[in-house]
Amino acid sequence: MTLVFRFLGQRFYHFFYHLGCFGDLLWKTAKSLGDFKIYSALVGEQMLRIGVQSLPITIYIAAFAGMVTTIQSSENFDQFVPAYLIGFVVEKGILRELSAVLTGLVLAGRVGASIAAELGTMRVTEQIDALETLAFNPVSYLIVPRVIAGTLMFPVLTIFAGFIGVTTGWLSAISIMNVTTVEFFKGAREFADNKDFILPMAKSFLFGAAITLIACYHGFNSKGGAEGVGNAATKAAVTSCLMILFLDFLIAALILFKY
Amino acid sequence: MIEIKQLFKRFEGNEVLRGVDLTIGKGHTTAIIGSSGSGKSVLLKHIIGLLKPEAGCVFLDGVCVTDLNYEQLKDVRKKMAMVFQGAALFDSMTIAENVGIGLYSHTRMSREQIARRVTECLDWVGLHKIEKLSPAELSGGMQKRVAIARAIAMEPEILLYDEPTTGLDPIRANSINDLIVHLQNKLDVTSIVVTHDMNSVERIADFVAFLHNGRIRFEGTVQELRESEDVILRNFVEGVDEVETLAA
Ligand SMILES: Nc1ncnc2c1ncn2[C@@H]1O[C@H](COP(=O)(O)OP(=O)(O)O)[C@@H](O)[C@H]1O
Ligand SMILES: [Mg+2]
Repeated sequence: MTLVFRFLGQRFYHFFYHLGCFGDLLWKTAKSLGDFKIYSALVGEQMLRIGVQSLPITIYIAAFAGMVTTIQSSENFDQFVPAYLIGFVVEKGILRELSAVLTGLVLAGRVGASIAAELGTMRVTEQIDALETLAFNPVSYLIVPRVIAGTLMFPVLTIFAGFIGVTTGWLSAISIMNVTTVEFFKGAREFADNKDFILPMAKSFLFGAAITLIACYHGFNSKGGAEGVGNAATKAAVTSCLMILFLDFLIAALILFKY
Repeated sequence: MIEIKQLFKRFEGNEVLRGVDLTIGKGHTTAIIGSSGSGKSVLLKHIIGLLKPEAGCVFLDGVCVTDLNYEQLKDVRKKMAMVFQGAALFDSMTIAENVGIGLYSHTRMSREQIARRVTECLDWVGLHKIEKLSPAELSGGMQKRVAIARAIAMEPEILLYDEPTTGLDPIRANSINDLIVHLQNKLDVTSIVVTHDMNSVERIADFVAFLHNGRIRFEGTVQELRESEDVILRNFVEGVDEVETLAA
């Protein structure tokens, strides 16, 4: 029994310890936003790596999400539920939830792990120490450009995902169901509101910031050679995924809850 | 002048430095020797402010480096440069960018001036026409030389070397030793060299400090080191395992 408590106690301690260190990094990152001269030149390259290189996988995910949404919902339509409502289902499902969350989850692996591995390698080979001895602030030099790029590019990727997802959902609907294009978009438009735009944008904005920050945190704190770098990459991916689901819930609750 | 006073550092219960006292004079080469894991790198990182001690201070010309805030530390660091054990070159950059990185950000030099300075520094360490290569294309010895070129590019007053000859074959190790001596004479800097290579100490050092069990056990000239009667120091210098002597 005491063992159980000791284990839980340790876990608790570790959790808050990491939370504290993460808060510290967050604060340093915020302070370094003033070093515009240093990071501005580096943001472009990161936007390219985080954004453009993630586009193919984003399109792939969204395309399948759209088709699956249509196919799985299609059997629920009968004489009581008019078929044109498939437009409504696809529009809400893809835009409000799947575009941001699926993209976020996959990119937590792709972007998060690669940032953590890259910065982790720099940490264990003392490149981050070297930057510091050369009178550079490693936070402004390495973390800020990645966080800014992630925060800006995730909403863009999510817009792509939403667009592609609704398109494949629509194409599947008109090919396997008894609806026309006009009916599909009538269903989609009838219930659309500005939250269908605000929700995915708010989510992806925060996901981008969270994934890159978490990955930078684990990268910066990795130790002990190649194994440590591998650990950092795994932790970055897992923590980001957990964080995405939590933020997804939080934002939905904040924006949709009627006070 | 660098004065280290009662420096303590521990990592999660592992007491690495337990009251280090050491004075390092200007314009000389001081070697810090000690077995692997004795805390030589940790000591070096305190001198340049990469690590903060639990207690004690590193004074640089009377100023306590370990108490400085980030901005003040930045100015101190411009006077110092460190050559890391694994070279620690930025592998996303070319050799020229590696050597010139400080010049780009901390000086008002033009691109041409920087390019000229980079070539000059590479010249001093005996490397030619490698500006456009990436670090991965160089051998370990060449990477060390580039790291030294990067360190001297900003004309520091103090040069810190962390095991500059470790991992190199004897011929390349000796050429790095010669390079350290050559730069010392040419640039008139204060050099601190961490090493466990006694051959290197003989070739480059004016003064030697022996780090043992978290304290400086011996401090003196190379001549004094040779004449020292301390058994533990003798064993280290002659490469004898302590356990063997106890058994004998
Ligand atoms: N960042 C760190 N975190 C935890 N322990 C460390 C850290 N840096 C060094 N140590 C520990 O301090 C001790 C001395 O390390 P180091 O100074 O690298 O030895 P060396 O004399 O071989 O250079 C080792 O036991 C090492 O594990
Ligand atoms: Mg070392």
